[in-house]
Amino acid sequence: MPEVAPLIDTELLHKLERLAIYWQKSLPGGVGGHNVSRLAGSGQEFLDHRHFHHGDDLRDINWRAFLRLEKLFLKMFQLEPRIPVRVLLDVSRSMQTGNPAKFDYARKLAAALCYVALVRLDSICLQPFAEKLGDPFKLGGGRHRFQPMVNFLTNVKPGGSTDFMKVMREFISSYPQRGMAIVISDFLDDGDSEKPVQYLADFGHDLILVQIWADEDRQPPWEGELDLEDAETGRRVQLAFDEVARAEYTASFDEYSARLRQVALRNGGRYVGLTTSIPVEDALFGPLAKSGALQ
Amino acid sequence: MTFLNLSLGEFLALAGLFSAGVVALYLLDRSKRRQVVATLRFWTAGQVPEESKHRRRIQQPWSLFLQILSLLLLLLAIAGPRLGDMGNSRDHVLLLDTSAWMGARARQGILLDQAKSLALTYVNSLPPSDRVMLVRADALATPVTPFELDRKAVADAVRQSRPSTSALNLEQAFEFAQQAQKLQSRKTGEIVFAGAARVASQDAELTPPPNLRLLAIPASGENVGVRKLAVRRIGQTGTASGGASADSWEAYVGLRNEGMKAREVELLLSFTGTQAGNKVITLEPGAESQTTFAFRAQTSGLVEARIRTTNGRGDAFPQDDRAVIELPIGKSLKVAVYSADAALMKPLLAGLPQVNATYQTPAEYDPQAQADIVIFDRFAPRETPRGASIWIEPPAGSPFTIRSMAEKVKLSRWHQDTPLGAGLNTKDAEVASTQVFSPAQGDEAVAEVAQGPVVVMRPGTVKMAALGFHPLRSALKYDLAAPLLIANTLRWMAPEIFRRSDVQAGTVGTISVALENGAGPGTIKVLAENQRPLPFTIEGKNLRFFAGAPGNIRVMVGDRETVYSINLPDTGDVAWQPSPGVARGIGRAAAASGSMPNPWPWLALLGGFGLLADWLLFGRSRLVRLSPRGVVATLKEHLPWDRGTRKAS
Repeated sequence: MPEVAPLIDTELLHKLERLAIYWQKSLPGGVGGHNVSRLAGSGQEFLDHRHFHHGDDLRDINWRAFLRLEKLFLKMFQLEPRIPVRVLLDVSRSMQTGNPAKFDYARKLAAALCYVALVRLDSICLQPFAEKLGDPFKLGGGRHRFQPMVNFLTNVKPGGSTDFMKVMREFISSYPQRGMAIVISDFLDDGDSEKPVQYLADFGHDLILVQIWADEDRQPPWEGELDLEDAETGRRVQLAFDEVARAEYTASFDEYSARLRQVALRNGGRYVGLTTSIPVEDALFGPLAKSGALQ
Repeated sequence: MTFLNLSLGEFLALAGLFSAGVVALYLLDRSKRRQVVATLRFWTAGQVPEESKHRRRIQQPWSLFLQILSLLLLLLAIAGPRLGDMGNSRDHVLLLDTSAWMGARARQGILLDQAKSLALTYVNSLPPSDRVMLVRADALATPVTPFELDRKAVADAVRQSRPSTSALNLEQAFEFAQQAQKLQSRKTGEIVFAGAARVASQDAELTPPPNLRLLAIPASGENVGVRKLAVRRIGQTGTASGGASADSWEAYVGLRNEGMKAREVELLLSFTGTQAGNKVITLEPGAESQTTFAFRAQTSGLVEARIRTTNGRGDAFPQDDRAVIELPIGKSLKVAVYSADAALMKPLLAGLPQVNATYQTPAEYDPQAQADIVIFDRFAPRETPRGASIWIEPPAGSPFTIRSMAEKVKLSRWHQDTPLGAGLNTKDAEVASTQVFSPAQGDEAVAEVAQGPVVVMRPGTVKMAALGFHPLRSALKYDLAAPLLIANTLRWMAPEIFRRSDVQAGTVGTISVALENGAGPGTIKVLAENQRPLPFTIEGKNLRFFAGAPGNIRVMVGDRETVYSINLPDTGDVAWQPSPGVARGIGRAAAASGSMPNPWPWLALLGGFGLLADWLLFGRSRLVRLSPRGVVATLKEHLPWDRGTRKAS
């Protein structure tokens, strides 16, 4: 197997070991996670007392309270579940635009998030998608599994057009267990991206929407008469573009991003908008950390 | 308005070409640009209705207009426009006196500095549409600029002028100026002469051209200068046999007082740095004096004549206080005589100072011996010498064939047209015994008896001569013909040794040499320092040639050589005084008209500003937005003080 150039340098990997992915929803899962939840279970931290019912574990009875009150109270502990972390990576043709290409930026970001999850022994599912879900790459169990994941990301080829609705439906049916869904995409689908995201949230997934755009996606530098071609559909439009039109374009783009953010926040998720001009490291320790997705 | 660098047709053609290019580049720049974008969903906001696209092909007409206007302004600047009416423009010829006298001292600097100042004042006072041609006038009239509108070019040429070493040839300068105005000018202007106008005495009465304007320089102060320096060997005569010592020389020094007062000067003559003589001479105003010094010199070297004022003050023109010439190297002719009777041969050669003779017996003959001429007295070697040779009564085995012997015969005929027989006409000289030669092909008879030639010469690369009798063993020993025949023979074989040489210090310009009788153009050579022949003319008995630069010039006329060491400045004799009707000083009309500024720098500046404004207003990285709101936004974005305010807030 040929040696693969690292997506992330070693120095950044060392820095990433301090981080962990945090989710806001209390999702059920196996023991051994690092996020507190409102669910009671076999945790270490005391959560509450309740009356003893038949069938409860006798080891959780608070015997000191029984001696004093002659009533059986059961101690409840906070559950720290291990929930699946699923990273949905947009590999459509629109991700190839921009300089540097958004796809390269998204790959690096996905690799970094996966490494953070691997360090915390989370189970990871890297799921590429375009008009449908691609072959997933599932891994877990520690940082030593990072290199296969890098190889997978390196070999992923962008192509196809985005169909968020179809992808989300397929995702929900493929992964019935609720978990964390990190969507890394430019969300520049010709259709409506808000409804599929809402659909995903409705099924109880904890959302982190990472919208990546190139500077030219938000503020096109060109002027005059333009012959524009859609990177995904190939559709062409000829138009005149000037300063006023640019302002209107940027306003429309910002409005769309705001709507995406609103959908995420409304469903208890988080939204991070990143431009490719920001280095990946700054994005991880800046906007992503501030959003609470990484702590 | 006219253009300095382009004609109107060229300007219009270039303007059209540039404008077409600008429009093409503009349209190319504004043509549709194809871009691949991530999505088209946000682009509808900037889309323009289809029907208005073609109407807006030129989207920024002000940008196009600004570009074309700026380029036209730049092109106009290159074309060099001249404002003013060219119909009344005149062409003037400015004659700047750059003769040697203009190097004389003035109150400030030299005379030429004053002439330059006057010339520049005149040039700057002319109307801008007048053209000026600058001509430097000395022995030659040299045009420096054509008829020029650019005052700076003329002024630069005036400032770069330097005094030459030749005298002013005013007549030639006027002729040149008139010819230039006749052939090249559109409307004849003035001929302006700026200088001291010191000319040769024969030009003192020169008639000025009618359109002359004189910018005269005040006469300079007192001056005494060396006008002539010549050296020659003492005792040199018309023949090589003119006896004298070879190291005795005579120097002639001519001085002239060109001032208005009597001057007393000390004249010093030195050879190779050693003083050879001095005299104190008093010169009346305008007087010349000739002084002779005799000195001995065995080697070549520099002879210098210098004058020194006795009152300790220098004169106005120190350049002519000194003259230097170089004495020629005295060459000698090596003659090897092989004779059994050397005592008989010595009188023949003793009278020639140029000859260095060695006498040896026939047994000592060495064909490799270093000698210019070998004389065989009744002796024929097995191996003939490589150089020239004289055979006296050659025995069998010599290069000459003896037909017979003759006894007691008279020399009946001398061929005076031959180099050996020149000047010999002795008749009835009897020879006791002589060989009669049978001339070979190419041989020429010099002297004959009734039986045939007894003296023959053989020209060629190796010259030979044969005498059938011994000149000192016959009756000729009492006659002048004997040494003359030997001298003629030696001079024929080595003419450069016997060439009479004079050395004179001369001045740059036309040099005239008096010719001797019989000197034809074929016998005359005038060679410059690099041995290249100079053109010359012969007018009557005078040879004339022109020396344009200092240096040594050799003039060879027959057996006479004169070396002219051109190092004396020629200052002319008198100051030319034109008739009172000649215009003088800066003209009133010329002075009244002010000079108009040349507009090309302003045009270039405007063009540059136009392009800069177009780049700022319409360029891709435009700095200023066109709308007031955009201007404010751009200023906020780019100006540093505004950025600082934003940070502070």
